[in-house]
Amino acid sequence: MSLPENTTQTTQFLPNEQQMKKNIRRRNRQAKFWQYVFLFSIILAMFSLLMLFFSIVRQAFTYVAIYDQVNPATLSDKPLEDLSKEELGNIIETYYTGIRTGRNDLRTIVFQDVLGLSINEQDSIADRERAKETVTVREIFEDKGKAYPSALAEQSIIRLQVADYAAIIEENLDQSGLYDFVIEKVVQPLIVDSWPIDQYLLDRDTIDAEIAEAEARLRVEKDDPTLEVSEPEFRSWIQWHLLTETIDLSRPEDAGLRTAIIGSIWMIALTILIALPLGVGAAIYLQEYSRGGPIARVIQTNIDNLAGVPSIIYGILGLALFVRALEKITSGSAFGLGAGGDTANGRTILSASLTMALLILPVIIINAQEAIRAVPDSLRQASYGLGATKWQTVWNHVLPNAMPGILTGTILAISRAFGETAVLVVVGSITRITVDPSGPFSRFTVLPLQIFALITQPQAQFRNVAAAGILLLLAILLSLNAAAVILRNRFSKRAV
Amino acid sequence: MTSNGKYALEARNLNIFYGNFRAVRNVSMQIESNKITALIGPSGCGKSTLLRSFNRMNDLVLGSRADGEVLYRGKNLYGKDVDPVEVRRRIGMVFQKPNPFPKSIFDNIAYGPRILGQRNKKILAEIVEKSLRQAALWDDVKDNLKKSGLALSGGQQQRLCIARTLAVEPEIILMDEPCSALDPIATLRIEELMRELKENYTIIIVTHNMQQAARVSDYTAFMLMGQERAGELIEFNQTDRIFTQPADSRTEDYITGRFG
Ligand SMILES: Nc1ncnc2c1ncn2[C@@H]1O[C@H](COP(=O)(O)OP(=O)(O)O)[C@@H](O)[C@H]1O
Ligand SMILES: [Mg+2]
Repeated sequence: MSLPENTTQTTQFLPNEQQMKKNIRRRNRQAKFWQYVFLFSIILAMFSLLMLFFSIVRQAFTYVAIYDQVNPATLSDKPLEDLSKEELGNIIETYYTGIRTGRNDLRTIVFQDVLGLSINEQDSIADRERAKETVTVREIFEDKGKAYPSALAEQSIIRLQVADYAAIIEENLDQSGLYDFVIEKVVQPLIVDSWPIDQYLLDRDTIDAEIAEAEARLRVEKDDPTLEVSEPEFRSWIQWHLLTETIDLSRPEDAGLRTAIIGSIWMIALTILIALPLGVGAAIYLQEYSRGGPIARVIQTNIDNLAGVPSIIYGILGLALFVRALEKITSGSAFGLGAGGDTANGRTILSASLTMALLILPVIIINAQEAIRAVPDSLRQASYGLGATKWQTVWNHVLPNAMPGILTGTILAISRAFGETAVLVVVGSITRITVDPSGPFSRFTVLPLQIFALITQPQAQFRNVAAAGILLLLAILLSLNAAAVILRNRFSKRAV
Repeated sequence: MTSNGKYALEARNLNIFYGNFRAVRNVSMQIESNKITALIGPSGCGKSTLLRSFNRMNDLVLGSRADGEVLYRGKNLYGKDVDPVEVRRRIGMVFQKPNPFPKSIFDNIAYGPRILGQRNKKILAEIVEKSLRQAALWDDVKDNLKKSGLALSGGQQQRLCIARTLAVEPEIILMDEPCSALDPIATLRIEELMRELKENYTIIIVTHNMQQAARVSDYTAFMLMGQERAGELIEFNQTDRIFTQPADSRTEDYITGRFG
């Protein structure tokens, strides 16, 4: 380690060899100490991140115990999957005959699930029947190319009996289809309880005890001593129906997030449409046109500071300005739109997007300015030197070269907007809504708010749905950030 | 050739300021048409500043200001009714570091004519070929005009920039140390090119390389920082006079390498 003594050292300016040897050791110890401090912070950060992720994942992948609301044993002596088509058809018929609204329920199923009739088509059938016309089974079923028992051909399609509707369903499904139908509509398995996957692996006793307890309680409740709660089985709460179904606050297993996802997409799309041109325009003006006078400096300082203003304040501004003062415009009534049953006053997607655009505008402007500043001046000089105007130079050189940087900044701003909640609460996004937004003037909810609403539900399984929703949100945000990184990398490679 | 007669450009009592700092003091000179005029002098004496003021490129620097006159065809370029956009088309510029656009060779050259309003593809192709030939680059690149201008060598890039300038048919070409980023062979080719171009164009070149000034230029202007670091024109004459019998002792000191 140590070098041979330096005998030619002549000045007295530096500490002598001995002292230096000692302080080398001390300086190295110091370096090591800080190295460990930094390492520790990284480990701590990674650990927190992992814990966060784990606490979500364990709620999204759980074990569940199920009980059947209608005990299959009461439906048939044999196991249901062994029954023939006919026997399953009989079960459907019997079950729906026993419900007061059975005939209507079955008709709805036939209209929507078998025939796939739209609301308009159903209305027109009803109208024709009201006008004393008979809409025959043959007409509608042949139009849709579906099978029907020939005996029903000339009957009115809305006046059939339970048995007839059951026969139609039987005609259109095979054995396994009918089996699924019976399970879903008749047996109606219900999740009694759910446990995070780690608890299942580590703590089976508690789970078994809880199952036994639930079983005992349900037997009393349902007055059915044979009722059984199933063994715990694995269930991923990340399911396709999250995207395709609306929120259902009675059955967590069927609850989807479609309304919120569509709301988020509408809100973000409008926000981009508003904020991107405005932000880029402002950035171009500040970078390329402004002569840097005192007014420009004041504006610049304001933009820089606005980027740090808490979002709730934008919410309050949006409430006063867009929801209240500009209600005529943001509700669409100024254009003769948006009125009607779902009138939202000013609490529309448009108001939210305008507010959100204000919120991310400073970030977009600052990032766009940065990107524009990074365009080499030599390109501008070359363009001006050929007799180009300012606009020609901006349009042909500055903007194309700054675009990847601008988009990177915009994507990051958008991902912020995606996760934003406070603003939207203030400008009146609602959480209990099952109607998809149909345009800028609709009421709406967004993903983070929907997740919040789910978490505050009393039934514990909604937390599992919420966890799945959080994973979905994280996936969207991560893809947005990845897109930003890819864009930036491609840009920096090209700029060399 | 020009209605200024013998002179393509004439500076009269030109002062150029950056804010309060006077970078060029009281320069008066006449630039002869179809000749190469070299501006030499030590670093920071205002050569680039003076050159850029000849086509109002200096307007682009925030806080810069010119006092005095630059006459072009009898018209003061700093007059109220003069549009710098028009000036820069007539008086083109080639920069120290080759700065092709990050576009194809074709688009680099077609850019100028396009922004001036020429949309005809056939005519654009003709302009591209003619300009590349004039810049002695056609044979090197005629088979891949779609290639990025940035993929060329440094010397080729600089000739591309010259071709790009020629494409808008300027009358005067300003060159600010066009060879300082190039190797000796590429430098030689640019110098040859300048000699060919002066048949049709007036060229003003800033160079810190005295051999280059001696080799290519017909006239040489020697500048030096005077009081308060303002650049001044010390001597302006035919190049062989400047290099053989300078009138000012400071010029002699500079060209013999005694300072600067
Ligand atoms: N954009 C500018 N802003 C302020 N001062 C400048 C600018 N460009 C040049 N200068 C100053 O003007 C003087 C002349 O510069 P320049 O014309 O570049 O000299 P040269 O080209 O002879 O080296 C220098 O003192 C330089 O610092
Ligand atoms: Mg210079």
